[in-house]
Amino acid sequence: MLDALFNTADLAPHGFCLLWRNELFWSLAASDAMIAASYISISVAITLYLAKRRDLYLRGVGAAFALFILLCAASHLSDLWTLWSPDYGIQVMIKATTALVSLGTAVLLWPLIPRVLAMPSNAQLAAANAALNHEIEERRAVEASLHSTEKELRAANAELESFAYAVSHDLRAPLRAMTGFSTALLEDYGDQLDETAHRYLDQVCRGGRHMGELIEGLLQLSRVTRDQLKREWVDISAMAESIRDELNKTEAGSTTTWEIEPGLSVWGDPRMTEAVLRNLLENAVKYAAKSPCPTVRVYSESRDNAPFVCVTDNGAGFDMAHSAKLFQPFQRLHRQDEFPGIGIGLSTVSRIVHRHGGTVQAKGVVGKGATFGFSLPEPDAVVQGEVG
Amino acid sequence: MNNATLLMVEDNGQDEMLMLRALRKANVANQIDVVRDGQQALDYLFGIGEFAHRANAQLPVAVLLDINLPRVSGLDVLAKLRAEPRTRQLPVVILTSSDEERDRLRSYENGANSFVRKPLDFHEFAEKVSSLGVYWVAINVPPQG
Repeated sequence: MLDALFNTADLAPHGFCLLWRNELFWSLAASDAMIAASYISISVAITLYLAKRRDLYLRGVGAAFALFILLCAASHLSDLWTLWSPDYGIQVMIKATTALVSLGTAVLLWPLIPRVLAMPSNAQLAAANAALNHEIEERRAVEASLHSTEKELRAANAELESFAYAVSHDLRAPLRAMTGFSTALLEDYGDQLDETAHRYLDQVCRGGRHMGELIEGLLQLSRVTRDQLKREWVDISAMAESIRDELNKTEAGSTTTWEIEPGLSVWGDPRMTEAVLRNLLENAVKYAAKSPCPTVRVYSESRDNAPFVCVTDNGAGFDMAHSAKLFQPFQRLHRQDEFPGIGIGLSTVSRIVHRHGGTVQAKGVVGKGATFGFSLPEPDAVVQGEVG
Repeated sequence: MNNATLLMVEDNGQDEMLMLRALRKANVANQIDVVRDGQQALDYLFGIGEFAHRANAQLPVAVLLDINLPRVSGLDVLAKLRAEPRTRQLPVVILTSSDEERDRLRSYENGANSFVRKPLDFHEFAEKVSSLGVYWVAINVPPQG
């Protein structure tokens, strides 16, 4: 059959049908040549455009269109060729291929109409762009005002901090005078005072000592807010071991069993991280001291995909209903005669952790113990520097 | 060393009384002179103004100097003492309730011989003051011999 298709033995060229009449023959030849050249040019132009705009929507249809036009050019060239030479077999092959690709492209086009209609027009795009620009402007303005509010807040905060610092600092001298002269009175004139006078002066000294602790607490709290953060990798395990060795020398710490996981580290200011760990460990030892076998554990745990350093004790614990108070300065969940303290440790912890942009969490069960965990952001997460 | 004097520069009268009591208990109280601000301290040590009669007097064996003082601050007093040949080597102890790192560093930069914090607790305070008194009056040998 193929042989029959390509056998040109009994065929005449197309020009023969036109009786080689010059006006018909040449105008047909020129038209076919021009159409073919234009089609080739169009398909090359489309192909180049598609090659450069790789992000183009409906790129596949564009390619099908380019191929279809190229094949149209080929079929016109075959028309041109068959004017002189009766190679109708080749022409049939070319036209059949063109027909198939044209059909494919035609079929492909119809379902595209709703999609193309859904595409925004240039005017719509321009309007959307303008709206977006407007929104960006608005956001910039809001951002600028937020920025200045933040600056004001920071300044007000710093002022408040330095006020707290100055007040607590200046309170120390008069307090020293009160306790100092009471003590001097007891020491120098104690023999002239009766028992009640002694008791009263003792109360003055005791009140003075407590006030002194509160002032030191305030100063500590203000210091962790004022000092600059200098972050580095801090070896938590080694730090915990050295604090443990110190606490073991105290009365409460002498009976404590310790479990410290090796290899723990956080990215933080070493001095402030030490303050966090020290406060948590001192608390753990203090509140576990009354249990039959006090145990303090330091370990890491992953919560919400963040590594937390946790300190757990098996001591007095606390009621989760009051957990909101835990991190407030001077708020305590225990009476002085149960566990002495001024309620500054955990608010120091929370201030330091928040300044690092980290998270602190507390869990407790009354009589069973408490767990405090903190997480500090790692170097790549620290973009904006410190918080608050 | 019988006429060895310690100069105390202290504007807080209560602290002064408590310090004198501690020094008395340490048996060094009869050799303490007290001035109340930075300018008085300079006048005393240079023998000028109200202290003109001290122009040729012997320098104290040491100065206990507070930082927060009226008129001329303790650090300025220190700088002026270090600028004068007569007082350049005079032992100066900064005795302050400041716990600012900046104050401590500036004290040493300006040539303080010692930096001592006033503790809040009265007993610690008394103890520190009497050890200071004993050390500078009885143990340390001053530049003038």
